[in-house]
Amino acid sequence: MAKKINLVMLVDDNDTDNFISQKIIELNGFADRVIAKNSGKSALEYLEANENDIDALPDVIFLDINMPIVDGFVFLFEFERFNDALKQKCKIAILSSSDNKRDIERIVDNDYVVKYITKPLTQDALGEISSVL
Amino acid sequence: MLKKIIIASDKKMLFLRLLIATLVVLDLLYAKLYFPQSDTEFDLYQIRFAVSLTLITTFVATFFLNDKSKLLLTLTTISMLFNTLFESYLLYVHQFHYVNVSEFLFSILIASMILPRVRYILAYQVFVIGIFVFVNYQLHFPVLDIVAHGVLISMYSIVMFSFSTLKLYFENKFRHRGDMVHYLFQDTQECMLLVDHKTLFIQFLNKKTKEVFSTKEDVIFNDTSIVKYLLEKGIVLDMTEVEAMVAEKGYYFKDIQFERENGESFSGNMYIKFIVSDDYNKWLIRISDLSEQFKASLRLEENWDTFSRILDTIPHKIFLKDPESRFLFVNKTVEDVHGKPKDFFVGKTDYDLFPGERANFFRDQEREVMISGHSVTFPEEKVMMSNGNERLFHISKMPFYLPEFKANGLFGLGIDITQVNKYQEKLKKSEASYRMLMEQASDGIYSADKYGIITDANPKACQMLGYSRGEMTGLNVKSLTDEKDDRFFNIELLNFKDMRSLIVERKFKRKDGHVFIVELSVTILEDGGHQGIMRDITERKRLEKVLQENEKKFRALIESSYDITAILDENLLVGFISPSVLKILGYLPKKLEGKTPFDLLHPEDRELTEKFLKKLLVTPKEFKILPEVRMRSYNGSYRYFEVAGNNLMSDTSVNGLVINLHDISERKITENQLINTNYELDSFVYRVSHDIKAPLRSVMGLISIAKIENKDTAINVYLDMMNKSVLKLDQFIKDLTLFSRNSRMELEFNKIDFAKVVDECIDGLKFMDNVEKVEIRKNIKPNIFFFSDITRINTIIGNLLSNSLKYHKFDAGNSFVEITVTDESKNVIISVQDNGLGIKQEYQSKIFEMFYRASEKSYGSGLGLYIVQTAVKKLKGSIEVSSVPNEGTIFKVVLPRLTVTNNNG
Repeated sequence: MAKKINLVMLVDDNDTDNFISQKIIELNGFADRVIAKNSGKSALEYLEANENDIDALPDVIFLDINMPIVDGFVFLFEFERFNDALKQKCKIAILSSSDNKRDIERIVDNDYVVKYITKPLTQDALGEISSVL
Repeated sequence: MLKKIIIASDKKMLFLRLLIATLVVLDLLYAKLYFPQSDTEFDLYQIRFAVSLTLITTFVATFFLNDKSKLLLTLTTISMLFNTLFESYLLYVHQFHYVNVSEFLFSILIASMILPRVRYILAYQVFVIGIFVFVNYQLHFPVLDIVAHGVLISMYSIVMFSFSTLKLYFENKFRHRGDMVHYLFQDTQECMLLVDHKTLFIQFLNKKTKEVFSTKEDVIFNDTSIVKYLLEKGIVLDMTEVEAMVAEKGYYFKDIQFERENGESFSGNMYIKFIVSDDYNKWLIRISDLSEQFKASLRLEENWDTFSRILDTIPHKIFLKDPESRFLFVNKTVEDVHGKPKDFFVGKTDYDLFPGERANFFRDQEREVMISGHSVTFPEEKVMMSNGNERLFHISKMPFYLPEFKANGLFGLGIDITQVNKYQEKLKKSEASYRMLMEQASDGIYSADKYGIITDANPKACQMLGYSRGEMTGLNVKSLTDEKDDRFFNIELLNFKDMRSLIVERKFKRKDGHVFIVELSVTILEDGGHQGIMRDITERKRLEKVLQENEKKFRALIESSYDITAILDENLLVGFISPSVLKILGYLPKKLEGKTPFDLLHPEDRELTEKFLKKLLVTPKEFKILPEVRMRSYNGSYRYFEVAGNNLMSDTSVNGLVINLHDISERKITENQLINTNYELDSFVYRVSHDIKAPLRSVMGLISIAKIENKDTAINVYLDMMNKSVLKLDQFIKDLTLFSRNSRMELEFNKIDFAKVVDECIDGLKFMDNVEKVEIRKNIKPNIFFFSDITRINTIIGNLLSNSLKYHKFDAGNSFVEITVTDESKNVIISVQDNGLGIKQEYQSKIFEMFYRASEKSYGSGLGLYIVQTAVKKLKGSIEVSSVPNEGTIFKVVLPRLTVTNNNG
């Protein structure tokens, strides 16, 4: 692993998936801490609250696309508005059960998205993420 | 000169005479005053002296001078009378003393000399005789004395009278001569000058001299040297030379030329002669003006030159011979014909030009012409030219009087008739060929005179009208036309309209009464007759009628059609548009004609349509289709049309782009509905697949966590089985969405990088079981230029590769899957080969069926190859399989290169 990752945030409305992802991250020692948010809205609120506290900000955000109200696209749109330091620190990996081409194309163009992963999260996928960080 | 002197002295003499007269009067008064004391006596001699002095002075003056002055005449007469009276007195006083008598006679003599006219002298004589008689009477002389004195006086008077008359005669003569000499000098048209012999000063020059030498004022006589005078005009006069020549010949002669002040040149000669005058010797110089003669002679030369040049331009032989038949003159044509220069001919005879025999003949002929004075003509005389060509001349020889020979010479004229002859021959030939043409012509041809009577007709004309040639000639053209045709044939009318030729359609009637239509081309001939060319156009007329009917039908078709047909000109303006436009779009056709159709197009379609039409303009006779164009109808809504265009610019009857607009609006609406339905369906499938997938993925995640955390092998086996089932379900959902998308989604064209596509597919397959046991060989031709739908290509390659890997013999060793991509000119060929399980022959035809699974080992959905096949079909390609069980399988996909315009088919 190229870089030690302190904090990972999971954003998924499906708590089971969040649980699975958290478990995989922990089992693989991918990060020290994991924060799970079960809606886009609460994830944004967290980031907003800790915008200036660099240590409280996650290194990697695993973002689901298909969520009610604030879905992955809305989240990315709102994410634009944070300051540069935050955007610099928080790398986003899409973790979705969709392998729809339409979705992938829309997401990959975004500057802050480093990786697109189809569920479930696996050890290999984590490896790939840390290699691009 | 004499005149000059006379004129010059007139005033001086008048003055002198006045002076003398005054002196006489003063003298008389003096005498009267000097002797005042004596009343009767006054000094006679004193008076006589004064009177005599006056008389003598007057006499002397008068002798030299002109006596025209009246004053002088009066004075002279008065002094004469006084003198005579005085002498009479003296005679009386001294009683005819001889001295007084001689004095008296002397005075009579003087008077006779002075008085200018004979009648004055006569009057004077009578006066004298009267006085004489009176004096005698006073003295009371005896009669004898009186007679004696009278006789004496009379005789004397007679002598004096005769003398005076003679004197007057000579005086007049001299005067005339003087005048004549003066006029000769002054008015002659030659320049005359008198020059002093010694000083060479000009003493006199005449009017002509002044004019010629432009001497403005009088030359100051005796002041200007003749040498200097002439030198001003550039004439050098060497007097020693003059004197030498005069001494030798008696005169000097020289030609002179100079430029006059008015710019004209003076040409002439100078003649100098030495003349001896009374006192002085003089040079008489005469200069003759010969300029005009000189010019005239120059002109004469020029005229001859011009004339001879004119003769040179005449293309006929012209020559002049002297009485000995020698050439005097030839013109250029003669030169050219004989190839010798003009100078050659002068002095030569025909012997120098022609063979002896011929020359003899010519000489005899010419001699006869010259002697007899009659012309001869040689109508056709062949002459060999210097360049070897033979020319034909019409030669005339005429007598021509030559003054310098005082005999007839010969004037010859040779007209070149070579060409004329040729033309005559040509004319004959052309006439012959015209006749032949007329005989052979496929059109009927006839000639008619100015009354319309047929003079000649060719066989075709006879055949058309059913007459024999003999019957035809003599018939009137009018009688051959159909009587029912009210547009009767009127040749006179043609004449009046001053038309040389025209083409008309007339009905003609055969001899048997059959009427047929003729296209008649009439040419009016010079003599008022005409020539007609007839062509039977009955059949053509019939065809025209059929054509017209066809056109009517065609029009009806167009007008009732649901398609709009339009013709656009080269500027893409509407030339014609079918009435169906009213029904379909709501416009009156007339409102659209002459206008651009672009205003009716949907703004988004204009560019594409313009491109289409412009391309059509440059591709004649090619049929092109523009699949879809929106046009605005009168009520503002848009309708859809399929546009078919054909460039018929070269077709003179159309001369434009024929555009057919097929209304596809209804179809379009259905199509749009279908697209919407498809889109909805697709969204539905997407949602459903996602919602099914999401929990499945969660299960997969849970299974993998459970496997990591659980060490119980039995449970792990179950977990693996669960995992397999879930994967199978996952794959099925994936296939289902692929299938749904493949069948409905529009093709989307991108450039295909096969190497990349293959790599991605292989990458997607790396988690398959036993993949590591199979060698995947890639054999992809680099730089294939191919546009296609990347999703479909991906589906095809991915499925074929996954099938090959799935149904492989993993334990056989050297297991391989080889993917080959190559291209031909029109196609790209993808083949996937393996040495796997193979497909049994009986299943091979079924493997592409939906949900068909040919292998017991299969854990797939049975959709894979079905999706591959539909994708290949969608790309208008083909797929085939060849397989041998337990040896291997080859799938071969052929994909054509598609053009964008074809994709909607």
